[in-house]
Amino acid sequence: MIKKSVKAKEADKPPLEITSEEALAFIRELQKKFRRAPRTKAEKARVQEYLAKFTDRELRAVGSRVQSDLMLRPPETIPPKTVRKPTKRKRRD
Amino acid sequence: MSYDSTRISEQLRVLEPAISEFIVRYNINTVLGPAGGGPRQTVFIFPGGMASRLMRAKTPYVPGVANQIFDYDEAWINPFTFLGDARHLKMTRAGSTHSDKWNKIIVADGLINLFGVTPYVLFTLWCTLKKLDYFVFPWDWRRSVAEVSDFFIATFLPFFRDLVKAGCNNADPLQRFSLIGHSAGGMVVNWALRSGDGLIIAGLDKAITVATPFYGYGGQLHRWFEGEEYLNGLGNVFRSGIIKAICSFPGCYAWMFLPEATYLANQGAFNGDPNYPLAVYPSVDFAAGGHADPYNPLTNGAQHRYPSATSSGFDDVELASAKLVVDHLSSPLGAGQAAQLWNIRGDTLAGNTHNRTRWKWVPPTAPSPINDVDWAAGDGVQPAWTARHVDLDAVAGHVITIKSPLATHTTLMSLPETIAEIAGILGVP
Repeated sequence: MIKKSVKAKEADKPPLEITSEEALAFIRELQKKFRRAPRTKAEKARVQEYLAKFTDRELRAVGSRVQSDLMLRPPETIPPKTVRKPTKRKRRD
Repeated sequence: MSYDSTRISEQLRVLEPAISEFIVRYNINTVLGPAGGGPRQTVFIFPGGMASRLMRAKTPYVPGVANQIFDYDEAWINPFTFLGDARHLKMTRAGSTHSDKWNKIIVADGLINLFGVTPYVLFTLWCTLKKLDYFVFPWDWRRSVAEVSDFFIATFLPFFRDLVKAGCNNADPLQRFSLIGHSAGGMVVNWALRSGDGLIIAGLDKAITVATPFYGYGGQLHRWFEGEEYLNGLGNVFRSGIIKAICSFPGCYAWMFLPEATYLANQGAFNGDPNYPLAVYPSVDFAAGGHADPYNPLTNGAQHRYPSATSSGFDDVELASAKLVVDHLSSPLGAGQAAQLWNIRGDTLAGNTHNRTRWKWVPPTAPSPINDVDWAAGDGVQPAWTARHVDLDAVAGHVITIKSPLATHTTLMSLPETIAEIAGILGVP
């Protein structure tokens, strides 16, 4: 039997749903890590490297929630909350 | 060429690849046959506010140089947007035109894709499966819906028709066409429906709005004072710049609750909606409870309603222009226009949509002077009462309410129930 790749296994999973608080915590962690927008290719690559530590499913969950929330009134009452630190994914070549 | 004429020329050029894709789909559909074998129709889809991707020229516009063309970088939306880049969407008004920061032209190109998520994928997939000749019209949501709509009708449509005729054996894609707009995209549709350009718009068949506010909503007032939480940065480090950018967008001024006069003129109709009545004016003073009309901001001694122009860039000229826009968009529909217009709205059955606003005089502008009073039925963003034009009460079946816990603002376009209703309106089997 052919073993499914990590990506294929992830694609089988239902979309991850997260709350506005969790999406905001993710963005705050990104903002904490990178205090300003990157200006050089190397700086941009560092942001992309950081994001690559999350799974596609996690990133899509953030993307979906943020897109929904942008049309809402600004959620000013959202309390800051610790987002999970990015975990290193094992490289499988 | 001026900044504006160069920008318009560039906007058309940037849309050419999407038109080429339309031509390919059109020719494939010619071979396969249109849905149900009926007469063909072109469907233009207008994304909601903030759902169109914006691209910024890599180099500035140079005054006096003819035929400038540019390469572009993504300006909205990507991870860098949250790191302060959103501030750079700020515009500068010169008379009735607006230029972009650093004189680097910004155009709309396609739909946003944030972390792999793109809106309307299911809807466009349905269009493909049904062999509909569809075109997603990206638009610069920072600009006034009047400007966008006029560009669509007077400039884009003739350009589009010429290219399609050249690529599709002289077939006219505007012989019969319909417009579908989601959220603020429906405001563009509403404006287009009322266009006086009889020749180009003669083939307009149906105009459909989905989750579109006709009488404003409560979210925009917050933004003048609070910015956008996701974009404000750590410790609100970018907030001042975000507020200045938002205050520079003419389009945002038309997103607020309706003028008092519009409410009073239609009070019976608002209150008469059997399931989604609006019993009172939705914007009131925090202390006295009197009407606080966003488009007629009075003063209270030294206090006023909006942040000062010096601190925020809030522009009274934009407010006055937006009043003309919202008055036009909520004005009575002619019989022909009403017959062509359908409003689809969402009700999540949770009563979870901000309904009314209480508004303090300013200064101080912090903490925010805007308070949401209560909740109503709606899609989580737009109350149900705002998502239908009151004149459509007289046209049976033209106001459609999708009742489902899944009928949220961003998912409404992709719901099977919504798609089934749109199919029925368009006559797609």
